[in-house]
Amino acid sequence: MSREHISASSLRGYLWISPAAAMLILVLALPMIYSLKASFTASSLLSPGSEQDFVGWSNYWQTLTDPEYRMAVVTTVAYAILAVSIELVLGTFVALMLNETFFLTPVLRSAWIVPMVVTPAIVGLFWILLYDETHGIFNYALVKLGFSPVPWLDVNHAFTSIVIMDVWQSTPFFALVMLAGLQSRNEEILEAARVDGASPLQCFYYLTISHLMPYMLIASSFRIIAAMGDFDKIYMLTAGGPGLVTTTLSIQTYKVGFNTFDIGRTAAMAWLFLLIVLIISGPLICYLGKTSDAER
Amino acid sequence: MSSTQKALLKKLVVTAAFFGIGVFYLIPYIWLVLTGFRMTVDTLAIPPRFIFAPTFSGFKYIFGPVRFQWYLLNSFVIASIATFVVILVAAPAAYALVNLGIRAKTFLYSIIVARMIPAVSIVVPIYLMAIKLGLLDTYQILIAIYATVNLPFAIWMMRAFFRDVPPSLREAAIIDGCSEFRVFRSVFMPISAGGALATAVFVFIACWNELLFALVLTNSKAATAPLAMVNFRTDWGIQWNAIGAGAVVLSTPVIVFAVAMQRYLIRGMTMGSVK
Amino acid sequence: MGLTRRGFVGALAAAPVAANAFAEQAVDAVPPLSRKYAGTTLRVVFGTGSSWDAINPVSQEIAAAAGIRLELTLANYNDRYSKMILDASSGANAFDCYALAYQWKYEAAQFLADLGDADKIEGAAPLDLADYPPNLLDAYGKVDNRLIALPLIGDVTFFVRNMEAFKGAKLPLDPPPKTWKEVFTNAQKLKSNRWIGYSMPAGKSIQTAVIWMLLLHENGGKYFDAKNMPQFNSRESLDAIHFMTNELESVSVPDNLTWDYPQVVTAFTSGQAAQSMIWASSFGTVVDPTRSEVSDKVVWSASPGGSLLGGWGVAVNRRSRNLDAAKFWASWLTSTPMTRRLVPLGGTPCRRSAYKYPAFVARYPQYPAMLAALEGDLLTYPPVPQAEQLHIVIFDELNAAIARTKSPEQAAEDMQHKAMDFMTKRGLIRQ
Repeated sequence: MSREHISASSLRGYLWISPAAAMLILVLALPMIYSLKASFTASSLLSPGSEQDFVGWSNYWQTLTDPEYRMAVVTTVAYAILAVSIELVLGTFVALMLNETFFLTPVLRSAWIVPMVVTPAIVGLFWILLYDETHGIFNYALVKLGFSPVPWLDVNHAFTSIVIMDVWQSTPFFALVMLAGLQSRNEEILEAARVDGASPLQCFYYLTISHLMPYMLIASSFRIIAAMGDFDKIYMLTAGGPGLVTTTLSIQTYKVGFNTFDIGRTAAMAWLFLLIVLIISGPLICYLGKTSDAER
Repeated sequence: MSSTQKALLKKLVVTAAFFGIGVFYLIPYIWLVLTGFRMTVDTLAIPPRFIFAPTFSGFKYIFGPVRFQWYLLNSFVIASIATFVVILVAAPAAYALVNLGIRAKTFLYSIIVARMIPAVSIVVPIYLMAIKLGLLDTYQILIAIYATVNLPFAIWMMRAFFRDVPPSLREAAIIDGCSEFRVFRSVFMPISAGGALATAVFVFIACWNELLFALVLTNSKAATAPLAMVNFRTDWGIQWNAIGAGAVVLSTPVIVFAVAMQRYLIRGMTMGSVK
Repeated sequence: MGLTRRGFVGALAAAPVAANAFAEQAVDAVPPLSRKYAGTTLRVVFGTGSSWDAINPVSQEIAAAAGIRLELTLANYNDRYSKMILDASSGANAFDCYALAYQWKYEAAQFLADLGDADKIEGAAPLDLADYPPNLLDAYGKVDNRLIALPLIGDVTFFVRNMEAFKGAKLPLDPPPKTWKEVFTNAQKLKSNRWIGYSMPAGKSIQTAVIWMLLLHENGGKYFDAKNMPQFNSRESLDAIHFMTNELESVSVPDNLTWDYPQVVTAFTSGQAAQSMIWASSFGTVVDPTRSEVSDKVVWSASPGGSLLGGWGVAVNRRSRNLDAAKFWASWLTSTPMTRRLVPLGGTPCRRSAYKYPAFVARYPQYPAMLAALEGDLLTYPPVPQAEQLHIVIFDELNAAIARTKSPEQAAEDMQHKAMDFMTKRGLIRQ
């Protein structure tokens, strides 16, 4: 192709991408820039005129030195990583299961889609009942099986409970991604390896797992980012309590924004939030970028 | 027993086992559905009443005084239009990234970063912007936001599907004299129709289920269904029968949708960037 | 298109079964109203739940009778607050009226219109302010000599006990408990495999703070001293925290650390807790057989330690684009005849005349007790601007103390420290 043709292509390319770019700038970038400016002021909705009140780094400093903020960071990161790790393992098992041959395949596979698509806010709201110590069916089942009831939403268990809730909702996502991975496996290589005398364990590890690796990376990076921003279902279930054990960064940001209407502080928290998510998911994304490029 | 009979038996046993596991996993959802057909006092009974007198009181309540159907209509209109807009904007963008030789890497990284921004961070600035533009409590503002927030995901997905299309097809078409647009419209889109559909389903579900923006940016005219659900947690008690009924109504179309698109979904979820 | 309602019948269907029969008796009809405001659209921030569900159709009827189009935005407690503040402070002024909880009135007052002369608006209803218990009217609507809200839902803390539990533990039902100590000793005796002694909330919600407030008052404590300094680490406050953390918690349901009001009521109505404090407006739920297992086993009395005032008023945005229409509608919604209309539908009134109305007293035996509470030793939430912030401080620390993540002493100190911070930042005291 001639050079002109290539440049014209590029120009057209930018044209084709411009609506998307425009939307992203208007709806995402502009508010973030506004946020950035506001984060250096004492802007508060309850004090008109406070947007002009320049305070430098004080909002950031106050946030970073606030022990409750640091707790929220730990809670958020722990929640995301713990939940995703469990979902990855569980999801792979479910995928292996769904990959077998059986009857009613579409029905059985479709069933797993359900938790993924139920509104997260409803999940959070309804699991209040499921986790209820006396009215909930979880404890009813435990007691029937001979165990003692668990106070799911008390200070020692609430964090685990929100992880379990997310595992329930998001494992199907991992399962279905892994299933796609398993189905794109090259059966011949597997067969050849078995014929060559490789043990099932070796087959599994070297062939299946390594084949699934990119799928795992995609699903994990997608879900870690989403989990760190999870708001609806945690807020509905515990509103961040008891104490601060389930207060994630998004819940804390919401509270500062909508209870105190302290815009400056909220804005600082928003930018710090972005930074933290970048730090946590960055390595994963980079690795993903490298491997997908290598394939090309 | 012959070996085929053994294989059949194995299949049956496996089916039964997986069916059981599936039902077990879905117990939270099943219980939610049952709650919609019970009176609240039955839902809260200790020990749980598995046998109860079914009632439609929850449904009567939500479609009566609460006028849930209006919320549903709002949700449907907003989600549909937003999804349409997303595909309309994301597909050409993805095509450009794959075929039109622009600096893909920067754009791709910036949309990954864009996806990391949680709703909480931008909702107040957007509220203030919406006021200035007079767009509070309108369809337009939610459509604009939902479409934009789902763009990164949609672009990523469509790009993956477009990368699956053999480059030779495009080259052949161009040599034949087709414009890029023609190639896009008549070659790539038809081939990736399944992928586009899967993307649309995901985006629709995300819009359908969204809470925070709807909460802050709408009041009475454009309020969406999840807001009605949240309001069943009243000052004086949680109306479980309404929550159950609402959840059934809200989740059924989405489940039907997703299940119908199942085939594409499973393919699409790998986002195609793995072969 | 909007969420306008014509479904009066629908609302009746949602109201308690027993009240239906009562509603068929003659109730005050909506009188013919001035058509001066016909064609206006009024937008109101509204609530959800039994009392609001009752007021909803009547608000629509009043609006319809005047040719006004009413758009109600239903929101839960926290959202009502944020919607009001966001709307008024950002200059959006999308709303004409707000549901106002009196604890918000100080910071909201700057955005609200004076309703003292609302009855001078053409076609408005007479305000009949003398019909309200004076403490209530003051608490709900008065800020700096302006009347910034008209009382709408009257609510006060109330105490309920389960007859069956008391009989089972061979405890007398009369006289009702006058102090929290009595509540506790009863609870200890009531506590068994079958019963929880007391349904205490310990979640991060205002309900938990309410218990502390009642205990503080009973101990003789105050929120602030004469110079406005917080007294949250006073002896009285510390005793209250101790009592909640040790005594009351020991007879409550263990997982109450995320409890908000619904769980408190549910514990009682499902026959789990033998005693509970409730808001009087929930009384209808407690005696409704379709919503309560214990509907025929309830005895009630005033809450120990005093009666804390709750409830809601209706306020008008001072920058409303339909100021007169809004005042007109608000005056009718809170008027004496319309208050009477609301009662059979499940509304809880603020007006003395409603509490004394013979048909209502016959139907709702708790009314004399409620009126006595509203006219008597009424407590209010801390009377400072942005009191919600103080409530958050209080219930956060209480929650931590009860969860045993800090000692009651530490909780009291932290409460005091945060309260001092808050009061200083808001310029209410000087450190």
